[in-house]
Amino acid sequence: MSHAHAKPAAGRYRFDANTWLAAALLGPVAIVLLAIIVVPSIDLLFMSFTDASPGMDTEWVGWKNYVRILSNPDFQAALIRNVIFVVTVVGLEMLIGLGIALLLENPLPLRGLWMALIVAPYAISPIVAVVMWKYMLDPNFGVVNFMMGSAGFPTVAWFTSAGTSMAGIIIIAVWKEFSFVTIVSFAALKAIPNDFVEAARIDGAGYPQILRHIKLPMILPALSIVMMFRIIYTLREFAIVHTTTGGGPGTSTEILALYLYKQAFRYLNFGTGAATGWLMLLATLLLAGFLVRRTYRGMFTERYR
Amino acid sequence: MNLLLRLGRRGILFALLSVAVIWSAFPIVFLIMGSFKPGGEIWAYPPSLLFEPTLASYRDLPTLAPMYLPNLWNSVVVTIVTTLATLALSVGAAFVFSRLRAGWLKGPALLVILVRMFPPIIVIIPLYPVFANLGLLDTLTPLVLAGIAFSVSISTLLLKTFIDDIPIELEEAAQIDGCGRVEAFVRVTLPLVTPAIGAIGLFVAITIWNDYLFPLVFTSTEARTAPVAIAIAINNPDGVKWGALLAMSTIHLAPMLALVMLLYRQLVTVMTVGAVKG
Repeated sequence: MSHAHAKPAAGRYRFDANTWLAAALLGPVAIVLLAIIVVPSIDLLFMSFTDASPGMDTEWVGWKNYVRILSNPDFQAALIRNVIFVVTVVGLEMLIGLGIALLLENPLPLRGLWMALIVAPYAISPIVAVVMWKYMLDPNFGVVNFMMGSAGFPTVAWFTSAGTSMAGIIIIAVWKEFSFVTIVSFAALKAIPNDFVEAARIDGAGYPQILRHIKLPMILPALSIVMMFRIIYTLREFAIVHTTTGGGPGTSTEILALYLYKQAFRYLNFGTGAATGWLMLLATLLLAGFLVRRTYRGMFTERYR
Repeated sequence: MNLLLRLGRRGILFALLSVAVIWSAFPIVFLIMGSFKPGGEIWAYPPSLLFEPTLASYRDLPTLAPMYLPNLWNSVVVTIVTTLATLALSVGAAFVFSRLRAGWLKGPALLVILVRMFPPIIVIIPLYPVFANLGLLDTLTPLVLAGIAFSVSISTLLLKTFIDDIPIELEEAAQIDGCGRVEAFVRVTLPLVTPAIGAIGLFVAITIWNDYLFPLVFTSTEARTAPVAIAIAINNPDGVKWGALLAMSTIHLAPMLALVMLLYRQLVTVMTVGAVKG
């Protein structure tokens, strides 16, 4: 009787000590996230429908900004360039990252040292990465051109020629982030039960077959998650391009984030910059939908309280 | 025969591994070496690998880039303050998401998971006028606020997975012994996840220390950070002063590189958890 009494009525919320505790601990986090990310994003959505510019009167212009950028050849070129950039960078990161993970998986002396050296680029600022690669790729005294010259290749003016500047930026971007793929692939490979591989080996399978029919299928879930993350983060690339070429020569390396930055802070067109930003956010959320759902589902699986 | 085959395979393995390590580490080594080269050697052609090391580039730094040390100090302050604040907020939030259960927590959980994906570049346009009106441009405050906002989600989600791994029964035992709920968490679970908190702190610190976008937009001279100073130096219209630039870059990469070399194992765990569980 008394037990039934103590039970809260279904659908009614109990404000107990835990509620206040949770609210007090989550409050500051929620305030920061709302003030710095959520509210500005909504503000950005409004701006994208106006002709906002700093210090000027703002007028509602409807879909004009979106029509304007989507029909603008510079924006279209930046969009296509961005897609090519993402596909190439993430593709190379997956290949190189996975390849190195397969090497590290072997029994090795000093594996910790090898791993630490592979992870090192992750510690480096993209700006410093630009310095080292510009130093190495310099057409006059760069070590890469020296080695290419010794091997009989012509000298490449990497960042001053429209044809090769994007290739140079792709090299820097891949170098900076491939180790993330290595780390996750390595962990996934290590998680494969040894029995599977041994059984296949006893049945006479060689390394290529084991790789194709056992290892790759088993790490595929982890690989696809890493790839989604890498696509989402490469899509917004800014720092490397801004410092290496600033989008040039001409507009040969101008990608979406650069286009946004120029619209907003060089031409002071906050409206078109905002429209570009919202298109980037929409693309991100579409791509991230699966990851968000997955994390959200895993959030409250344990049943303690 | 079998032995030869095995030795051959070992040989190929180590050859490939050397290529991998040269690819990842040589650019860093070459940059650091360059910062110790005497003037002419820096742009010697063919590039020199053996040389008389000198501190000349570092000695000239105060004259060639007088603002670099103040800029570096700004980076230090922003990184430390942002990382500590992010960790403090994350510990509380991760405790809630891991240990408390209530229907309404789904809202905040979704907020944390969702905003983690937002590209930082989209908030610079709306925030710029706000920080300008508050008189906060060219101060460290916007860097700290924006840094916390874009780190606290991932930091919370990571920490939650580590707390989930500690059995709640340990805290319940402490509660039976008379501890309050928070006290039990702080006394029992928190010490067990301290290594994870350190690794997550390093993860956050790397992001903040290396950030370029926010200092580029929200600072101009007084609050400029080291990455922006380096970016300006490499695009010097009067010609790049390579000695100073290589010294600036080496100083900037040294602390994080040292920490990552020392703590790579913990960092790798955090990065794996972030991708696989977070």
